[in-house]
Amino acid sequence: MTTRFRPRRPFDVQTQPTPTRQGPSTTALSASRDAAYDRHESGLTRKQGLSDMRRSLDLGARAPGRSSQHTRPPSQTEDYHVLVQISSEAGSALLEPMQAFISAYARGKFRAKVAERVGLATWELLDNAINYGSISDDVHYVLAESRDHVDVRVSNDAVPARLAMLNERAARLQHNAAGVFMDEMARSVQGGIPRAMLGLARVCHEAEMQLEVTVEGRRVTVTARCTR
Amino acid sequence: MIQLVDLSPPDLPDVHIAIEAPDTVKFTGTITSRDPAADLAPFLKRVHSAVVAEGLRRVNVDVSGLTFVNSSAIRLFVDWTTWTKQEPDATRYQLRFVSNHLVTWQKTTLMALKSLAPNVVTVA
Repeated sequence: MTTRFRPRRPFDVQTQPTPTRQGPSTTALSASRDAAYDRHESGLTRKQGLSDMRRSLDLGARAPGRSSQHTRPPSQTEDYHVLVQISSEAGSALLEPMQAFISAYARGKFRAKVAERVGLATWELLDNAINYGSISDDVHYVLAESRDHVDVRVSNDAVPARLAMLNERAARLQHNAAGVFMDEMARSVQGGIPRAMLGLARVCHEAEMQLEVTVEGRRVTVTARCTR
Repeated sequence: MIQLVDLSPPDLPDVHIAIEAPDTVKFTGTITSRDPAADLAPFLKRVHSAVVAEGLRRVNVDVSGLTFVNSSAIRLFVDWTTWTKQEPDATRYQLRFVSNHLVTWQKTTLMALKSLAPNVVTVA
């Protein structure tokens, strides 16, 4: 029997210091967080407002862990550390504050190129999860690092047709990211609906990140990895 | 006739837009809103209409200070390119993107746009 935990707060955010590299100062991170959340306060529609989120960040409050059914942890090595993990109900109000927070965090944590990649991957993977995923369960975001790599990982529920499409597209991207990027740009020029593939193509081609898709039941996890 | 320099850019939190006479539209900052089309598409459409009405043969789109855009924002530039392509020869103008080669999205996206619309797009 699986116990499902649904956090009471709309956002549950954990940030963890890494022992392998000195992180941003508490003051700088708080300022970045405050600026990011202040800017997006008006866009938040949840009943519980900024104060709860700030308490979560300041206290480093740990949300009780989710069942492993919902996120597949990466292969653990001694130097692999989860820096940030966020679980939230799937919704568009999540995207801008998270991208702003992660971008600010990444700029303080990594060199500029890596921070740029992390920001791009965060946006595109979360945007896809919200746009094309199912709202039946939370979206789970992880930013993690090892000695050599940085991972952006997003998990969400999805319908079977979407899962199959995602697997097929990930395979195409791994084979020829530049070609897929050009194809998606060409299709965008011809008009039509916004395309999820353009975002994934940007992650692979523009950000030069490796993409991995894993599926467990109706839960899909997309991981974008770059070197530090 | 409304001219390009008469247009008032939208006032947005993360991106600053300025119109510099006689033919430059300059973007600075980032475009990361969930639906940038809602904020920017009407303005870009007015820019396009003003350029056509004035008979300008080229518009400089300075994105060198635009450090990050999401894929939804890329679509705006794609749309602008499409509007320009669809103009008849007499009123079609060039979109000259002024870029910063150190910014990754500009290298990849603008070169892709140029490949797809070589008669309309140039990249400086």
